[in-house]
Amino acid sequence: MTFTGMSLLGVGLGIAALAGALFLLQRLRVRHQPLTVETTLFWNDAIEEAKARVLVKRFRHPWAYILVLAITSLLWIAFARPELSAGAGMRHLFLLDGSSAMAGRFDEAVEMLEGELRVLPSSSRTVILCGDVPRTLLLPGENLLLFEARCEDYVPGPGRVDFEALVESYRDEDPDSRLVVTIVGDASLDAAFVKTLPDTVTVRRLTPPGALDGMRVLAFGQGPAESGRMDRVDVLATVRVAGGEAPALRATLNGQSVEAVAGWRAADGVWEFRWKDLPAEGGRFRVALSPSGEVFVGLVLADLRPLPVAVEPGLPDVLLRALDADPEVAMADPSSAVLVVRWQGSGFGGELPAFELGSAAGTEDAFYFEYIGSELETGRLRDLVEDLGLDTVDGPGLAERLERTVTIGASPGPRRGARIWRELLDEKAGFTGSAAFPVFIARSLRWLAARREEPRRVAVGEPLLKTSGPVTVPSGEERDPVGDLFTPRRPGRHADATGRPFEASVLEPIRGGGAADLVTSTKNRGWSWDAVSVVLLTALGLLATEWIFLRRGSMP
Amino acid sequence: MSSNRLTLRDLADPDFLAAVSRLQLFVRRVARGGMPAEQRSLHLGGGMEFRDFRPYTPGDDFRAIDWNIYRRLGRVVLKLFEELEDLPFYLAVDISKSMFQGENPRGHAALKAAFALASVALQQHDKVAVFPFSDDLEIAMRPSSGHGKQMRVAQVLADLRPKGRTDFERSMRRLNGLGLRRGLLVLISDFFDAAGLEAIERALKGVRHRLLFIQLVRADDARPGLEGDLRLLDCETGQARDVSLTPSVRAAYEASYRRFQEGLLKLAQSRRAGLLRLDVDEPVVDQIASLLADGVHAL
Repeated sequence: MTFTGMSLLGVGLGIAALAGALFLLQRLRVRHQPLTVETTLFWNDAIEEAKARVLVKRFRHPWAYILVLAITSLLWIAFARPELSAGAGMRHLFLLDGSSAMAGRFDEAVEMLEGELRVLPSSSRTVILCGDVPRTLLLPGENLLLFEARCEDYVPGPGRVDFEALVESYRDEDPDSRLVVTIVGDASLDAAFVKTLPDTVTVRRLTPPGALDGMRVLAFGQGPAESGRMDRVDVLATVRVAGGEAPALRATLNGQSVEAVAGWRAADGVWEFRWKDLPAEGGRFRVALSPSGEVFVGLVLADLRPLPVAVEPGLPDVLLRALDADPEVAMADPSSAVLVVRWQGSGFGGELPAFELGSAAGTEDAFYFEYIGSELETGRLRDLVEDLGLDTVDGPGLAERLERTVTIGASPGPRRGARIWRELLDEKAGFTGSAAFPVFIARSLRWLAARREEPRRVAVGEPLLKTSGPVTVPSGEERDPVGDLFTPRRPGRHADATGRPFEASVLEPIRGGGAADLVTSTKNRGWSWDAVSVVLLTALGLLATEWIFLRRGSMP
Repeated sequence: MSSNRLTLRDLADPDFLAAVSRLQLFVRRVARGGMPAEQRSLHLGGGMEFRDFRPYTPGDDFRAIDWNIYRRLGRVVLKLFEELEDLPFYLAVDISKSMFQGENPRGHAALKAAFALASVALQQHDKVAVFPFSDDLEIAMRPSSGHGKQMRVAQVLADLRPKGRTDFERSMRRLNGLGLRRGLLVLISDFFDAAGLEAIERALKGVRHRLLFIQLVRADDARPGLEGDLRLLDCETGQARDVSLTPSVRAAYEASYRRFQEGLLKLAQSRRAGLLRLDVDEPVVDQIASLLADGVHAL
């Protein structure tokens, strides 16, 4: 049972009870300590000023009574937290944006909303959390404490809630009553929809500090260069802004300023930007969304530079031809190479990741791989097989031609490594003649060099298509999706199991149509101070006043 | 109350006696009809010290005529001499309960002061009487003189027991009814008469003696160190007063006490009486000595 959120009637009854109790207490005789003195001669005048309170006699100290009643009433009000009459008959619908756009600011939004709820009648407010599905956080009449508990542990994710439908359904519950809809967060409402709302419905926005100054990033990613150059990529950003002017975006590549080649208006308030022919060398690309640069979107550009590979002399020609045909492979000395191709057991290339040829007599698996630590979990070997193109290899045919079982094996090791039978490269095996052979060689080399295909778009709340092993999140902690795809929960720099970085950005789900221009507030309305604190401070002040009067002898 | 008794040993303490012996008390005038002693009399005539001349009037003693002047000037004048007479000391000691309340009661200082004054008087061959009073006046010792009476006075004072409440009007009425020769009436009291200063004033109107007030006071009389909510019980009247001690209540008390002190001083002045405020927490003889400048005080 709790008395918080008590109705005004309840508070009034409580004050009346206090007034009665205090009235009786004022009239009760004070218990005096007996003391024998030589004379009471001089006390007679003094005693006339300090008559003891007696139940049946005249009420002597009305001001003292009023003061103590005021103090106790304030304390009672602070405890009871009455519902204010302001806004009676008005319904409040709070739509708390739980989408990934709120990542990093969700807690502030909850705090703001809590302050707002505290001053509203509990019977008239409803709070719905809008993440991937709508979730009711607080029904009319429910205690505010429940709100806090229900918000705990929620992590913003992809937001797919239809805000307009929620507003419509809530309005239809009681079309005649006044309804105030408050969007808490960055989510937008369709402008056309807002125009259709009747006058009884007011829509406003409450957004925590640090918002993107009205700018929302709808899309942000990289792709092949429009110019056709293989060693270049283009970056595309789609942003929505309030107002008609194009936003001035400030982009940097590895800290160096990069100018947008083009920016054009795609729809009302939606602008597209493209940064063309950026060097595909794994650089860090960022677009600042706030003047200070604290709010940004970013990505790691693809690394399309040729792989420096050291090749041991005397390897089969068919393998050398496959390497030579790969445009992303460049022959290099072992000292400058990132990986090596060699015979099994030779010391060529030292500790570099190696693609080795071994004898079928000495090893069981035709295709054998070593991976780092926990990057390849149980059950993910299939993914590796697909990644390396082995799923297109005619396994049964190979086995028949080699007259032995062809298997794929993997085990953890200090570094990545790949080893195949030398016999697989013989002409009679038929492997080198298949389309799978150059694909396997090319992908194996890229896997050994830990060169991956950079995702086009890494958005908070959206699972990455290809990840394996634990990921280091921006806070520095390690998160292991345990077999599932990793989903970034916060924007910023991440690192995969091999230590390679990638950036996650806050992107708003794309909606059709223009966004309504809502009245936005970044502060709680009304009592920004906690009302209870104000009441308690007032009571404290009155208490101090009483003490002063008491010390001066103006009060019994 | 037995613990508050002052014994003969306390009064006859050698140090106290030695201190008392240094005191002498003089008054300007004494009444006629007493024994020759060391006090100047209002009566001019049969003494040893010349004082004045005055014309002869029928009935005057021929022995007082200055025949030398008659011979030289032919006028009959009388030669006047100052008589030295004894001063009756009437020690009215308040023995009401308030005088013996609490630790180090005022009564002890009162008895010591009475004994000190009595000792001085007896040394000067003055008569001393002891009249304890509370709600009535008693005769504890009739007027007597002589050094040998000092221990008698001490015994009388030591035998006094607290009783009753202070009633100056009744006590002084009884004193006046005794028909005593005019002398010095020493009132030793806290002057806490429930009827107030007005009653004391009324009581003293019929008193023909010269007066000396010795008021027994304490430092905390003016500023009582009391706290909290108290039920004050008057030790004499038994009257209860409930009081919550606040600064204003204290201020009212202090104002009331101040008025009382001022009223008592005015009363003393109006009666041309001396007023000695004796702090009961300080040595009695020292305070009397400071009152009697250089050990001698002219009243």
